[in-house]
Amino acid sequence: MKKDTELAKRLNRICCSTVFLLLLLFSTLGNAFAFDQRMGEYAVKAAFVLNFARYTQWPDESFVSPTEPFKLCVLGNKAIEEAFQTLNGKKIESRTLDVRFITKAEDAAPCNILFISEGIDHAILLDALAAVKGKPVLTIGETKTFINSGGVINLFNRKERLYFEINETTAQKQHLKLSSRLLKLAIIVGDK
Amino acid sequence: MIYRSATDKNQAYTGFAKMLYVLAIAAVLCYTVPLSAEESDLTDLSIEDLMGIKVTSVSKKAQYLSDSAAAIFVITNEDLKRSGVTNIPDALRMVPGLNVARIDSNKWAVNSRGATSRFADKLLVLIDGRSVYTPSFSGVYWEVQNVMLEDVERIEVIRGPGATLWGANAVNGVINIMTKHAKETQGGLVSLGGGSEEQAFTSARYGASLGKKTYGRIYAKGFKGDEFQFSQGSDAGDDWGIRQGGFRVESKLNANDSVKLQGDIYQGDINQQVTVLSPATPNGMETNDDTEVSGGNLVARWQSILSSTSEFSLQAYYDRTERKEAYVHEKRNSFDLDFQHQFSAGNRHDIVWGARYRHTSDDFARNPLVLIDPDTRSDDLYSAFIQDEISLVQNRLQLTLGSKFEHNNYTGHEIQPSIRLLWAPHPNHKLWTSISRAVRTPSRVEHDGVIINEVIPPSSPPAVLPVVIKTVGTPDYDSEELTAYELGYRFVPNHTFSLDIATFYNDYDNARTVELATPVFQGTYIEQALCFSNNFSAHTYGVEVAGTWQAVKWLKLDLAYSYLISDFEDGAQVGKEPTHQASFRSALTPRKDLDLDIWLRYVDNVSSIYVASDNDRFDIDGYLTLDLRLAWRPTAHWELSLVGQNLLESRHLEFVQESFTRPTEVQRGIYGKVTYQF
Repeated sequence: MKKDTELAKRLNRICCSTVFLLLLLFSTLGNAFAFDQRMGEYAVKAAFVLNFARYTQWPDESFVSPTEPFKLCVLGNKAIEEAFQTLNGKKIESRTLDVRFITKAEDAAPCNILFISEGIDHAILLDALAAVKGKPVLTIGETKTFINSGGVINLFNRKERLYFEINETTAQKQHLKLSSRLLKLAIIVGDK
Repeated sequence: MIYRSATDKNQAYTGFAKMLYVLAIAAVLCYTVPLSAEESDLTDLSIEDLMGIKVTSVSKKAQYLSDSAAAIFVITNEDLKRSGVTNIPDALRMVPGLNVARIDSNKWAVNSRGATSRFADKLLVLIDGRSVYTPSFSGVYWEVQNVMLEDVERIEVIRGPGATLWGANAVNGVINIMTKHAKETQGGLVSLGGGSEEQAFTSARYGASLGKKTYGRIYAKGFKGDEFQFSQGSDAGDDWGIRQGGFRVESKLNANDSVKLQGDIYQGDINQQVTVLSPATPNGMETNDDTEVSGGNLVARWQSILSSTSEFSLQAYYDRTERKEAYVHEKRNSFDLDFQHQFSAGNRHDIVWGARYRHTSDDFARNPLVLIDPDTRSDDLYSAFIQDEISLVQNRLQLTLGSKFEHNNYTGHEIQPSIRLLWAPHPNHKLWTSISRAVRTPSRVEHDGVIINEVIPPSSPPAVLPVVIKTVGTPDYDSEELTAYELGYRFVPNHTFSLDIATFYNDYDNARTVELATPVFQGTYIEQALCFSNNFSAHTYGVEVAGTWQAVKWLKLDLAYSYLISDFEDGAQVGKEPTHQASFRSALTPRKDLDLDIWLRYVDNVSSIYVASDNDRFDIDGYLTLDLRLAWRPTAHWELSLVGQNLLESRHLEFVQESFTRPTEVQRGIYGKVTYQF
């Protein structure tokens, strides 16, 4: 019995003091908050894609003129669009980057770069890769089966950092020349 | 200091009110610091720079937590900081299902899903992949596990068996303490503080880049903890201090390979009052014991990423510990080599397999209280495991099968399989279930030890001689076995809310008991041996709930609740678990430069085994306690914080060690801390 009243007293005390402190602190509330110091995964991935474009050489016939825009197609869900939208209009040498968001595998054919995100249905992924097979299109993905399915570059996360693997043979088949700088930083997979 | 003497309720209340007043004034005095909202354009960065960026793991973390078919809880660096704790075991109080009690100023009893004990023997604890579980008594000396808390990345706590991956002794749980990558701790940090119980503490770390792809850090810390009080009110003489230092260097050799080397060294003085029993002093002789502890370790690791679907790691470490106290003087050297390979086979199988070799050798000085015979022993442990995570229906149904196979010198071969199933009827809702087996292999004491437990003084005839009760190890003591059945549910609708419910039913077999042997007449006394044997079985079951809600950007609430029931046969020689436990944390950031943290904890009444009491038990009341922390960052470099711990009572009892020491109560404490980062 004595214990109960003591407990009640104690609880009462906690309640009072908590309310008091909360009131006090709410009254001094500031207005600015910046919590997440870490970068959004897709903002970083988009920046990777831009770099991949800069360190890849396309065959001359890919473009009609030296100023023809560079077409980056993104096959993925809405959630990643914002991150890739920031690349729109960026310069790659004399060309401007033109970012398009596509939903169908057939739309992949006229692209120079095709990014396929992880949420995409596996059948659509295979169709999209088939649509650009042998064509000078740099395919970039982020699923563990991407390289085996015929993709060129695959981004993956290990311990909260991004790595990328490259299948050089596929790159050659797509008539793309990847710079040695890119290859040095990549994990080379497939036939060497 | 005021609070230590405040034993009277009124006085305690005045003390508490005073503290609130101080906190309030401090809060009012704080002023806003303008934010530097700088946002760099990622697209200007080079690939090298991009590869160094830590990417948000909001989805990853949620996924990580919600995709495992096990009861897992993660304590982040932020949780550690906001809780105001100064050591690892106190931090574990926020984990549902864990049972943490402070025995005295320098001893903790930690267990998972069961009654706790200083000698809790079914929990595996790893620091950066190094096991700190001692084979001597199959437990952990928590007081010497002093990692630098500022540099801890996270603590992963898995309740329930983890033996398939981690091996024997990961029976009731696995605690994995991971420190930050050296790249994450660049620059300097100095902190200094002191208070009534945490009398003085300091730590310093400096991290720098050592070449293009190599990073390193060094750290040193030290502290002095005040003594607590015995239940009768006198000082317990258990003040203590430890000094520790270490380093971590890691280097990326190329795109695929990275290597790491890290090490720590520590030395400490731990005071305690030990009750020394002998036939001549049947009531025990109180002795002020100055325990000396020291140790060090060196860990090397090579990790190689072969592709997005394949990687391996090779780790080797050496660990040395020495502990010299009134009843035991032990030196131990261990060497451990571990290989793991993870790869995907086809679309559906994620396989991880590994092999481990461990060598440990010890040396015990002869001691009349705890005699280990033979004094030295070397043991080898060989183990291998394989686990396959099979995706039965993509993102919907996942089956995990695996087993550990090991050979140890005490019980020979042990097989520890598990089967786990994860079903996601909806991406936000996950259900999981598992059946697993784990064993706890015999400790050195259970095999070779002779411990004086109790001396019964001579009384009137027929007992004219003192009776010395000894617990005696037996070579045929076998592994304790657990078959665990678990069922869990997780609801993670978005990254601001998560609810995790885990239930379990544990079936222990071959569990430890002590059996009376025939008394032996030893001339001046009668020796009554209690031999370790495996004649006990038990069932425990319970429910654990963990909820997290980031209500708004500036307020995060965390709730943990555990319900635990043990169903013992008659004659159980274990303590009683707390039936209900709860922890509620509120982390408020009213302004970017200000933190206010509230942590309320409730632990139900328990009873511990205590040989000095008449019925071998000691009943301990439940308790409710409160910690508060207020921190202010006047600039990006400085942080001032004030922490009050166990504020609701001047002192309370949490646990009583089985033997050698007297009931000691945890006292209310308050400390201040200054941290400077550059």
